[in-house]
Amino acid sequence: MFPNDPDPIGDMQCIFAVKSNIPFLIESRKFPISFSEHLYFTDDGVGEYINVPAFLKKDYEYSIFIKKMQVSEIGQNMVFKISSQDYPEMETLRELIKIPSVAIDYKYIEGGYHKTMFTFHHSHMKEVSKFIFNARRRFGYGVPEYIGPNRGLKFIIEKAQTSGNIVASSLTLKPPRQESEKMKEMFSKTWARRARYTGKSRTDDFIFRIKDPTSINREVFREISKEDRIYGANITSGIYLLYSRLVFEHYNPMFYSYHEYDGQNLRICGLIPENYGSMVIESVAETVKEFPDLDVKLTYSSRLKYDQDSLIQVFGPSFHT
Amino acid sequence: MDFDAVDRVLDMRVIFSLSGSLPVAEFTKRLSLDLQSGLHFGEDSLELSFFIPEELAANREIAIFPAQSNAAKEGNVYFSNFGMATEDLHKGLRAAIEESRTMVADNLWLSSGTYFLSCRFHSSDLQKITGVVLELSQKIDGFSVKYLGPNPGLPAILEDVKNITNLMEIRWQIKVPEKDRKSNPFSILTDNWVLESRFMTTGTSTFNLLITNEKISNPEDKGMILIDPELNLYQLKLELDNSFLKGFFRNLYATKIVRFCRTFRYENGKLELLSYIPEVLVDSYITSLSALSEEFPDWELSLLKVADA
Repeated sequence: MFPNDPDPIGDMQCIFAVKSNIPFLIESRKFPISFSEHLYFTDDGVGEYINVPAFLKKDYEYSIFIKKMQVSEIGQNMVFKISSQDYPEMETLRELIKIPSVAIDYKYIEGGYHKTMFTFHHSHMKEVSKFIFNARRRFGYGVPEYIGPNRGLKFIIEKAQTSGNIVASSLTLKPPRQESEKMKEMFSKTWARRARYTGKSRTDDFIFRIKDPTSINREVFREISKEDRIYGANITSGIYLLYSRLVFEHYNPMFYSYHEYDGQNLRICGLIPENYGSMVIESVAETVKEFPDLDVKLTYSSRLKYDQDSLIQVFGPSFHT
Repeated sequence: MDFDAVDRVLDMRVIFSLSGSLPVAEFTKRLSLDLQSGLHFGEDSLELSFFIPEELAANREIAIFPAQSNAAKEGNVYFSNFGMATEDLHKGLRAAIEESRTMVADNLWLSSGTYFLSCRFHSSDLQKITGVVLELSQKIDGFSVKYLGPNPGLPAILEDVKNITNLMEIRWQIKVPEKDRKSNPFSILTDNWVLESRFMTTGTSTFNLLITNEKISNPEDKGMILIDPELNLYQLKLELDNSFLKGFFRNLYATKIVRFCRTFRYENGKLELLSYIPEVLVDSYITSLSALSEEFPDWELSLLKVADA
C-alpha cells in the first residue's frame, strides 16, 4: 500500500450485492461494463442516479436500451433514476447508514447486481451482519461478496474505473469562520474525515480520525473507537454546506469525499466520474464567490492515476500518525 | 490458538481414486468434465452429491444430465444424490475413516470418469490406512491410491479444489449464551480449543479432532480418545444437543452445502467458525446463517470475513 494512501478511517470493508426487479438491472447485463450509481438519502426516501456512460451511445444495443429504460439527460450525461418510492426495499439502505462507523465507498451495478461497497469499524461487525441478513430478506437475494480488512483507496479507485475514468479534485482553504462553539471545537483539533454518505441537498455526516483526542468535547464528537481515535460528527460550516449543496444541484455524483485539517489549512478532496468532472469546478467557483476571504486554491483536478505523486497531490500528506 | 492447529499436526495425506461406474462418471468421462462433489456420512449410508453450476447446466449436452438423474436445484446449483456404488467400497471407506481415528475427509471430486477422495491423517494411523488400501485394492476393480505421503497443508489442498470451483473463505462468530454452555461441545471442554470436523454427516452427531491448550484428565470418561499426549490431540465424537448447532448442521445437510476445512475455535465464550465454500453455494450458506441469526438472536451471530479464498 502506498504510504500516502489516506487509509481507512474504518478498518473493515464490505461489498454487498443485492438483486432487485428493476428492469435496468436485467438489461444492464448485456453490457460488459459496470455502471456507477449516485446514492442519496432524503427525509422522503432513498434514491439513486445510475450513470449511463455516453460512449455506449455508439452501441446498437444501447440505443434500444435507452429507449426502453427512459434514460434522461443531465447536461451531456445520461442517467437513470430509481427511488424507494418505486422500490421500497431500497429503504433498507437507511439501516446501513444508521451504523455509526459506516461510510459508503462506492455504489455500482455489476453483472446484474446492485453492489454497495462500504467501510466500517470492526466494533460494528455484529450490526453489519444484522444489516446484511435483514437486507437480503427485503431484497429476496443478497450476498456479501467481501467482508474483511479495508483494502484502501486503491481498491475503490480500481473498482470505480471499471465504469469509466475517474477525476479527482482537491482544494485547500483557510479554516472557515468559526461561527459556533461547535466549529471552534472542530478546528481546535487536527483530523482527517470522510463523508459517510450523500444527502439530497447536502452532505454533513462525517466520520473523523482525530490526531489527539484528549479533552475532546463529546457533544460535538460522538465516540466510535477511543483506541483508534475515531469519532462521528455533523459539520455545520457554511462554506462546506454551500459547496455540498452546489455539488448536488449541479448533479455531481461525487462518491468519495475526504477532508484533512492540519491546524492551518483545510484540504477537501473528492472523486467523481470523469464526465462530471467539469461540474465540480463550477461548484467550487460559485462557492468561492460567496466566501472570497478564505483563500481557496484548487490544487488538483484531473483524471486520477494511482501513483504516489498523483496521490500526494490529491490527498496531501499522510495522516496516519 | 490458530485455526490451523489441527492441520499442522496431521502429517500425512492420502488420495484414493476409483474409476467410476455410476452414470455421472460416464457423463464426466464423455465430456472430460471435472465436477466438485460432496460426501456425507450417515448412520448406515454414504451419500454423494454433485453439483453442476447453472452456467454449465445451460450447455445442451449437460442439460440432459440433471433431468436424467433427477437432480434437484438449490439456489444456483443442481444437486444429485447417489447411494454408494458398491457395498465393499462403502464398508472400506467407512473403515478407513472410522477406524483410523484421525482421518479427515477433505475433498471429493470426479474427473473424467474417476472419483478422487483426498484425506489427511496422523502418522500413528498409517498402519490402519495401509490395511484399508490393500484390502480395497483387492476387492474393488478400479480402486487405487493416487498419492500417499506428507500432508502439504490445507492451503495446498484447497488449491486442488480451486482448480475445479471458485472458493470463498467464510468466518463467523457466535457468543455462546451462558445457559447453553452446559451443552455440547462447550460442557465437555472449558476454554481455548480448536476442533476440526473429520467429515460431513447427515445427522447431528459429529466426528472431530480436537487440540486443547491443557491436558484433559480422564478423556475416556468424556468420550474422547487421546491420540498424541505431546500434541494434546484427541478424537472426539459429539452428539450435538443445543438447538443452535443442531439447526446449523441440519440446514447444511438439507442444502447439501459442501464445506472444506470445517474448523471451530473456542475462546472466552465465543465460538468462531472457519470454512471454505464453493462460491456457487455461498448464497445458500448465508441463507442458513441468516435464518439462524433470526431464530437465535441471543447467540449474536456475526460475520467476520467473506473473501475469495
